[in-house]
Parts: sequence; structure tokens; C-alpha cells
Amino acid sequence: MKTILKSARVLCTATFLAGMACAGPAMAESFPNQPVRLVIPYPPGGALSITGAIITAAAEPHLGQPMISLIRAGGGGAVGATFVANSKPDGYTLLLGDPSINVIRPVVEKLPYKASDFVPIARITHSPFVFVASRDAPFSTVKEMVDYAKKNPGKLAYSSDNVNGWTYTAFELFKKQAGVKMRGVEFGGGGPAVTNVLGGNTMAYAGVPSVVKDHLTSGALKAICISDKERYKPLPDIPTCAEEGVDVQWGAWIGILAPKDTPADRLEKLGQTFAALAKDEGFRTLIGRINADLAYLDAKAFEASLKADSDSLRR
Amino acid sequence: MSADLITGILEALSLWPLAAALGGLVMGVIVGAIPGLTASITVAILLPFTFFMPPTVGIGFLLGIYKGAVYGGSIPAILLNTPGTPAAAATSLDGYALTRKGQARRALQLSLYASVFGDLFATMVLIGVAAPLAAVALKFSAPEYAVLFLASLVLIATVSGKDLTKGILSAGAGALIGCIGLDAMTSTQRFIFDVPELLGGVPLVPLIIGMFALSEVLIQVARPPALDLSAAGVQTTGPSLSRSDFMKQIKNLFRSTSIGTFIGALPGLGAEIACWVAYGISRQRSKTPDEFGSGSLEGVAAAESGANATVPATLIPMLIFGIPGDVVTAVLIGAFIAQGITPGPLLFSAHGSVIYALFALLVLTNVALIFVGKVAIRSFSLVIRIPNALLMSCILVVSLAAAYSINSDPYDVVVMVMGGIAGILMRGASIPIPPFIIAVLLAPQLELTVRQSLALSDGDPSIFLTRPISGSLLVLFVAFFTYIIWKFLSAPKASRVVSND
Amino acid sequence: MAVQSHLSGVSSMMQSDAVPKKIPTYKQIDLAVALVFAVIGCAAMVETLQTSADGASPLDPRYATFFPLLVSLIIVLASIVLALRALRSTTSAGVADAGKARYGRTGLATAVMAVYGAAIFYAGFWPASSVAIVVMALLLTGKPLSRSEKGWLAIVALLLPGLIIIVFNVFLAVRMPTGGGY
Repeated sequence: MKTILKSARVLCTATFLAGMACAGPAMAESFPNQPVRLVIPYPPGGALSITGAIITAAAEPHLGQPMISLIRAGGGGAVGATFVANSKPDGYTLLLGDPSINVIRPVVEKLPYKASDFVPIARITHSPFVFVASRDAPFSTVKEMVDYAKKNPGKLAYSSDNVNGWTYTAFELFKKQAGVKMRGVEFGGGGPAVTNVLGGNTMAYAGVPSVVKDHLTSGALKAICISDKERYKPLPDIPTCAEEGVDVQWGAWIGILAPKDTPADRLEKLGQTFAALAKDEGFRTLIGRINADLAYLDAKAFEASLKADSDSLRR
Repeated sequence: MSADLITGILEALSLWPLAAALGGLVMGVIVGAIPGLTASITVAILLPFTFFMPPTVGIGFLLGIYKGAVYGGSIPAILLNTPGTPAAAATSLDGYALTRKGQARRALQLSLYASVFGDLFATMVLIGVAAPLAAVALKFSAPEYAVLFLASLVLIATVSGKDLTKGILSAGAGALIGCIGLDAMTSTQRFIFDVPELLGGVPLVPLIIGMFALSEVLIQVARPPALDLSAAGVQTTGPSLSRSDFMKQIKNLFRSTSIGTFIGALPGLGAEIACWVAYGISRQRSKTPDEFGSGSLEGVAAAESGANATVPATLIPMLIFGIPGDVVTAVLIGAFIAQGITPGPLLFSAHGSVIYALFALLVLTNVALIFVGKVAIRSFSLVIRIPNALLMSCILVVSLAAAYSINSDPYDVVVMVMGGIAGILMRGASIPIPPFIIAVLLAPQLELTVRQSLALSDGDPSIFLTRPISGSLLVLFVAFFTYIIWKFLSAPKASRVVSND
Repeated sequence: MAVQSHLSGVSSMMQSDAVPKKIPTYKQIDLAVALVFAVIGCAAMVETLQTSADGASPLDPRYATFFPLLVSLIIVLASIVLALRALRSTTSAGVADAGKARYGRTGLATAVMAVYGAAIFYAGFWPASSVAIVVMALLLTGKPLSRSEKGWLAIVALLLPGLIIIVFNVFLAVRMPTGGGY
């Protein structure tokens, strides 16, 4: 027994020393000298995580180091956002954010982070929302939908994703602008939401073009309007909601943010990386394939746009 | 269409797609066999690599991994009572019992054949009747799911072993664990206690690995397992599966496979649920229900064929409507989209040849699984020759490493350790673990779908009856439930719930 | 489950040996279980009612509080049933098969596991894992080790974590912690 203990002790010391030798890389001067982590706050498979996968796949040549995606899903994005907000502001941990996480929820819900915990670096994509109706819904235009809702208050059921999510907010804005009462059913995500409007269980839905495009072409869904300032080029036949009398301008963006005290020079370097990425042909091709709309904004413009978004929401 | 079909098949038979699919299959079996690693993580991590490969190669690879992993999890489940993936949890109940009786080889072989059977059957369904089945699946909305979940929860009664009261306690605890986090419909924070990580709820994979694998290791410290050792002092794997053994399972296999295919085809439900439903129903219909839990071949066959049948089945809603059934299919959709192929109604007309190529690869990997599986069984069986003490301590380390690797998150490791502790406590107190797991999986879904149904109907509970599908399902369920209760009450008192042994 | 049937099989075998140690009886265990679950159920109910904000009635199935309340209620009811059953039972059969000494070892092993889980992040994956392999193997084996067995243990303990690191790093792009916090 004693011999076992003794040999165990020798073993432990040996392995411990060996392990210490594998300590992490020393702090060096040039940034970045380690891989950069991009935190994805949603479960894999959704639009955000696919965009994240494309960004991380294409970023390395511009960054000088690999970019790894780290999935921290849960709480509608709160887990991932809190993680980045609390992480060391050394430029090695970034958040792939969207309006739900960075603009709406911190204002409306009690969360462990605040919107001001982040500093924007670059916006990558921006898509307007297309309001659609199921094939058998008793309306096909904005006017018809509003009339129907006015005649049947609370009866019009639409597919929603999560409270304070993308689709939810789109409809809240619509309902406010049009002055109608409609009933949202939260299905937890775009997938089940679309399934239900396709199956006729709900009458309406609002989603980004990449999600609804094919269904519009096949006729399974009818387009009502699009929530942007001007018509959407790939789908020019869809009127804007403003044209039709309900001024909703709301889009979903996906962008990169860093924790708030990250040093300015590192922010600068990251900003340059994403600017170069936005011009990268390979990146643009991939983004085009997923039908996301590349709408790059640099840090300043992104910040301004965020401020505008949150101001307009307060109204 | 037939031009696409021919092109597709020819494409599948060329070098790179075949190599990728087979390589993925092998990798999947290995990944599945390592407790803590699952198809979901692996597929999510490897996704970016497929962006730059042609679709038949990249997606063929991912599909191979998916298939392999769901099968692979059964190997450690049987040999070590350590499910490699949540889909194999039901297999470990009877699989490990068979190993302890010195019948590991029969269990492993049956598991392989059952998996291949389930997979092949469901692949045929996918290829043959995907479109009409998908159209039916679209009609399923919240009320239908709610009734299905309710019916599945009743299965808890059948897997509670002898003690229904403790089964209910176990399920209740599981249901509460499932409630932790942000409520999906109103974003209300439940049971968070100001711990930000809990906002995302308790993750299933580390929990299962902890409750099954870790608790097994820790219990063996107190009570080393009585394993069947041959004269050489080495554990044997026992006799091979005989032809008649297999043929006896045919009816069970068809039934369990159909259950698995059906469950897989419904968006949102996957192998982790199907294995339990198939197992529970098979026990219900078995002529020897008391064997379940102590080494029933039927149980192994049911769990494995049910679980593996979901793999091709989950592709049905994914391909036809672009609707993901679980994490893996969600990632697969991403893989397709990044290739410029959008799953959905226009898929076959726009990209028919690619899809047919993938179908061909699915069938080929099915056949290949028999051989890959046999090799895997032979290699992993060597593992049980390692002295148990060393083996188990290595399992401990690998499991914790794998839990960490899911998201590079210490939180998952914490969940696993706590699962291990909970597992020991439950086993010490004779509280059955399967109801807990089933409840963690199903209770939140049941709650969600009931609330969604009420939201759809604006608060009117009659929606469950007025919708034709859910109405008929509900009637069937009530009838079946009444039948079970009647059987239970009319059984002689001695075989009913007994307080002590 | 398999373990349970093993447990009960051995215990009935042991009963004839009249083990004189103080061991918990099934009755005591069941009562303890009932008590623990009753407490859990009540605590869950209290916690749920506290989060019931925005004026919604907790009894409305459409809101987030209904379901946890229902489940907690079921738990409390089931614990009462269990407690009554345990009180009424007349057997004094005990969990006899191993007595306290061996369960103490499980407790120790659990503590080791918990410490290992933490040590991964503070001391680094490799050293913590090597130590854990050695300690757990020693706890699991019932007898003293021979020279060759010790040799194998040392080799595996030293190499396996390294192998894991290589595999995970290369194939999964996961970097195992090297010590000093997360």
C-alpha cells in the first residue's frame, strides 16, 4: 500500500510539472497573437450561426490568426451576451449580435447585461422584414390585412418567434402603426414559425427574405409588404409597408461587437479586418449564397445606426 | 426527373463523394462511441469546412457522421453502461445487463442489425414517400404535438420499473429541471437564482452522460460489478447472435422502426425521444415485460431501431420544407444553403441530381454500416479486456473532456458532475433514472405546445378536440390509457407496486 | 434497472448473515426521499409564485407559472403517498449489501470527481487528469496493484490526457484549459 502511495506521489509531481510546461502562450506585443473567439449566442443552425460560421471561415487571412466560433446559446441570446460582456476586454472575445440582443431586450427585460456593455465594431448584414400571409388567408395586401384585423380584433393569429425577438418586434411595430390588435403565437424560432404559417395554422408571419423567398415563389405564401425605406431589389414587386400606409421600418442586422473597455487600437485592427472581409470575394460569394444581404457599416456608422434604432424604439 | 436520378446516382458513385460519406460514417461511429461527443457538436464544428467542398462531398460527409454517431453511441452503452449519445440511453438499460450476463456480443450484434434495419427502412420511406409524408407533417401543429407528448409521458409509467410512485417523483424532478431557464413564450425567468448560465437551461448531453456514465463509475467504487469472467479472468463477450434470435425480433423491429420514422418525420423530435418511445411501447406489447431492464434483447432491438430510424426521417421535413428537426438538421440546412441549395419546395426541381446523389449515398452508407459496425464492435470489445478500474477512470476523464469540448464551457462540466452526483443519490434510493430523463426532454415541450395551442385558439381548450388530427389522437390516447389502467387494476395484487423487495 | 436488481439480489443474500452494523433500512430511505422531495416541491412552488409577475393569475395555463406549480404539486402529493407507504410498511429489511464503509468510498470518489472538475480549470487539464486517473483507479480497484499494473497505470495516466488534447485540438479545434482560471 505504501509503495502505491509513494509511486502515486512521484507520478503526480511528474505530471504536474509536465503540465505546467504546457502553459499558455506568453503575452506578446502584437495583436492578435492568439485565435480570436467570436461568440455566437444562438443554437447552431439558425441564420445567425450560419453567418457566424461564414465569417469565421473567411476571416483568417485578413486577421492574421484563426477566428473560432464559440457557441453560447440560451436565454434568447442572453447567455452569450452576458458571457462577452463579462469577458476580458482584450479584443480576443467578440459577440455576434443582432437587434434583439443588443437593442431591444436590454431595454425591455431585466438581463445581466446592458446595451452599453458593448462597443460596435462592424455591421455585416442587414435585411428588411417581409410580412407574409398564408396561402388561404383572407387578405393579400396591407389594406386588406388591416381591415380584417380591425373587423376581427384579436382574431388574426400570426406566427411569432420569441418575445422581443425579430418577428415579435416587427409585428409590434406594425400593430402600433396600424392601430390594430392581432394575436401572436410564439413558436420559439423561425423554423416552427414558418411551418405553422405554411400549414395554415396561423395567418401571417414576418421574416427575412432568405427565409421566405422560396415559399413566395412557389406560391405557398403571399407577400404583403416589406419593412424598409425603399423596395427590396431582389424582390421588387413587394411594396414597402410605408407605401401601403403603415410606416414600419425595421430590419434585422447581424454585426460584431466587443466588450466596452477594449483598447482603441485593437478595435481599430478588428475594424480593418472586417472592412477587408466585406470586400473579400470569397466571403461575398458565400454570403450571397445564403441570401443574406451584405450591408457593411464601419464602427462609427454602425454606432450611429444603433443609436437611431434605439431612439426610434423608444418612441 | 429520371435524368436527374441517373446523374445523381452516377455522381454518388464517384471517388470523392463515396470517400467522404464512408469517412464520415467511420468518424461518426467513433465520435458517437465517445461519451460526451455527439453528432450535433461534431457536425456544427465541421460545418465551415464543407463550404469549400462540392455539395455531394461536403454534405455526404456530414450525413455519414450523423448516421454513424447515432449508431456508435450504443457501443459504450452496452459495454460500459455509458451511452455515447443521448439516443443510446435506452439501449444501455438492457444492453449493459446483457453484458453483465456475459452476453455482450449478442447485444452488440443485435444493436447493429437493428440499427441498420431501422436506418434502411426509414431511408426507403424518405426516398419513396417523403413528399406526401411531409405534407401530413405540416398539418401537425401545437395541439397535435401536445397530445403526442402527453401520450409519450405516459410511457414513463412503463419504464418506472416496479415503483410507480418513485417514477412519478423522478419525472417530476426532471420536469422541474426542464423548466429552468427562460420560458420560451413569455421570456419569464424561471428558477434562475441570479446565475446567468442558467438562463439557457440545463443542457441535456452533459446531464445524461453525468447521470449514466459518471454515476456508474462512482457506484462501482462501492460495489464492483459482478461481471462474467471466463476461466482466464478476462471478461468474455459470450455467444454470437443466432439467426432465430434475430428473427424473433422482426415484429418488434418493424414496430419500433415505424415509431422512429414517424417521430423523426415530425419537426422538432429526434432520436433521443424516439429511443424511449420505441422501448416503452415495445415493453408494453412484449410477452415478457419483466425481462426489460434485466437483459431483454427485445429492449435493445426496440431502442436501437427506433433511434436509428429517425436519422433519415428527420431529413424529410428538412428537405421538403427546409424545416430543421433538431440541431443536426439545422446545421445541415446551413450546409445546404451555403452551397447555394435551399431546402424547400423548389429543391427537387432546382437541384434534383444533388439530392438523388445524396439519397444514393445514404443507401450505400447504410450497407457500409454493417461492415463498419462489425469492425467497431470487434475493436471496442477489446476495451473490456482492460482492467475495469483503469477503464472506468479513463472513462471519467474522457467524459469530462468531452463535456468541456461541447462549447468550451465550464458550465457543461459542472452540469455533468452534478448529474453524476444526482445519479448516485437516485440509484442509492432506488429512484429510477429513465423517467427523469424522459421528463427533462418532454415536459418542457408538452408545456410549450399546450400553451401554444391555447394561444392559437385564444384560450379555448376545446381546440384539442375540434382539430381533426389532435381530436382523433386524443381519443386514441384516452382509450389506450384507460386500457392500461384497467389492466393494472385487474392484475393480481401480488404483482402490483410492492413497497420493499 | 440492472443495478437495482443487483442491489436487491445481494441484499436478500446478505440478510441471512445478520450484519450487525447500523444501516439505513428501506423504510428510512423512503421516508428520507419523501421528505426531500416534499421540500423540493414546496420550495419550487414558493419560488414560482414569487416570479409570477405582470398580474397574470398563476392558475392560468397560458402563463409561465402554471406548469411548474402543477408539477410541484404532483411532487408533493407523490411524496406524501411515498411517506405513508413507508410508514405503513412492516419490513425492516435494510440496504445490507455493503454497509457504510463502502459507501464512504463512493462519497470519497464523488469528492475526488468534483475536485477534479474544478482542478481542470485551475491547474490545467493535463496535470489534473493524470492525477484523477491515478486516484480513481486506486479507488476502483479492490486489491493492491502488481508492478506491471502500476506500470500500466502510470503510462496511461501520463499519456491519455495528452492524447485527448491532441485529438480534441486537431479535430475539434477545442483548446483544453492550461490552468489559471477559465
